[in-house]
Amino acid sequence: MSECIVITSGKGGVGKTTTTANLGVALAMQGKRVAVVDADIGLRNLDLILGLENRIVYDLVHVIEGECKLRQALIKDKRLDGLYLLPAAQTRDKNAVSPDGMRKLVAQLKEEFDYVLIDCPAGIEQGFKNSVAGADRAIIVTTPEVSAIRDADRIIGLVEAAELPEPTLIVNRFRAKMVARGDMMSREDILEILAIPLIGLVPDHEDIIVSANRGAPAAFDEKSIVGEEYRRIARRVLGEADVPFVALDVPDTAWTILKRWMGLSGAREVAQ
Amino acid sequence: MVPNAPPSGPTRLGLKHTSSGLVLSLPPGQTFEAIRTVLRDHLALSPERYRGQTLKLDLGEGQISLFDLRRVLHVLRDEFGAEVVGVHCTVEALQRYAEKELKLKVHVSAPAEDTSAAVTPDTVTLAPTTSATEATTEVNTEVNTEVNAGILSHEELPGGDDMGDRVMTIHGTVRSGAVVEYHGDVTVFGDVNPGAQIVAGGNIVVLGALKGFAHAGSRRSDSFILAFDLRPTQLRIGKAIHLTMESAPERGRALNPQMASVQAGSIIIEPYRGRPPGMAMREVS
Repeated sequence: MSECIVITSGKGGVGKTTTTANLGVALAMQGKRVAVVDADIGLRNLDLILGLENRIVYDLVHVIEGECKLRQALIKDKRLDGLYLLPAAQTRDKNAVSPDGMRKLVAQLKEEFDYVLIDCPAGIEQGFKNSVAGADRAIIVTTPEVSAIRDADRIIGLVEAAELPEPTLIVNRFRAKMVARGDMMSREDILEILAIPLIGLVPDHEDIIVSANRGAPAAFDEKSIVGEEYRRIARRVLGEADVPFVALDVPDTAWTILKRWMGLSGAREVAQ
Repeated sequence: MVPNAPPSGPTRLGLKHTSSGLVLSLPPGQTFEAIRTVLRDHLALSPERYRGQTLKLDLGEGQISLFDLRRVLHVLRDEFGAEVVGVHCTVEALQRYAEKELKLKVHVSAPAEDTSAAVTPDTVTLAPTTSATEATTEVNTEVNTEVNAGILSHEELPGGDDMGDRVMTIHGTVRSGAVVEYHGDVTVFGDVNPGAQIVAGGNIVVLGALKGFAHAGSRRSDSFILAFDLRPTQLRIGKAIHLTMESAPERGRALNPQMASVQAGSIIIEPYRGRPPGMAMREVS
């Protein structure tokens, strides 16, 4: 059964596009057929993050307006078999698409793909309404900042009002050290306000900037801890329970490395 | 004085995005021409904003005449493509409209005992033709009852025809941007988050954390606000306003129910001792 998930946040710049790209890659790595859809018409970015910019011929608006077939607009990722991108139009704006048009498009995509991920634009206007229209559920992305949390809270209300099921949460740019010092909102602080299930706690790491500039999402990188968290998010999205958060893993110290080397504890231990 | 000059007063349109839809309140005491100008100004920037949308009109005290109301509906439909699916107005206004149509004095009967029909207009003696906006009119008897569709529910409790006796209950979190307005008491089984607004004619009770804006006693200044965890952005009771102190107390896990009430004209917050104000004396006797 295929599913359409909208990735949204309210506030801009918290990492919706990065999350969409990485989650798409991670789900495709699990063998799923995934279409990532850039709904940020007029401000398209998802193609850049995925490194597929120079292959765009047709876009989402062309498909909705019937100027081309869906297959013609979908861009296949060379690195992964099941991953396709439907890019946004850069020369139009949000009003070029209606919720009805999006609903039809998503229905068409769901026939061919296991997962349809929609990268929602910031804000609560037309672009948001379009993005939510065809979705079966929502993932809310936020950062541990009061302004992002406030907007996420508003968006959760709007998602519920749109009669989608309870959304899930990904907290981006999380810094465990700052939380330990009391300088950043903790996971508990955030969940106290938003009160929805947490499915991702993505550490703040320079990998993300490097990978975005290269057009190769961090989820491809076996060694990146950010990529590891996105791969774990994909497992949680697929329904696997009790997948620990990378950000809360006990960091390697000389002592734990020594212990592991001596075979005292097998895998890296996990703190909850 | 020039005839037809718009009376002084607020010329702003109130536009509320509630999750149950858009509610447009008309500026009170304006002529149709003035309202149309305000509407056009308001929508000049994005004329397509309301196309295909459904909205409700808040008539407030019902100062607009039925004739003008019909014209406003036409403007909204023909010029802006918005469909008006309901109106909010007071019982008094509804009564006035009915009287104008019937040319007879209208008496509002007490609500029937049947709780499921507590707010249906059946008990208001009205001919069908009196409804202000043809067949699509949905009359919510009193002031606004904005309910965040999906998470908030609204119940009328039986007993008493005094509006203040009625309680609206909300199950779940009231989130940023949500507006809850009710003429009676409001009880929330959950949190009220920062950025959310609760305005009640009577008391507000939050069985959770109150972190948003709460205005109790918009009709009765002897109202109170009670919360298990009282950390509001702002409290108002009647006309009194309470700005929260600079440093809100740290989040504590222990329950610390607090109650805000008006004493000598200003809002006092104190630990809740098990009784709302005014109850203590009666209980003792």
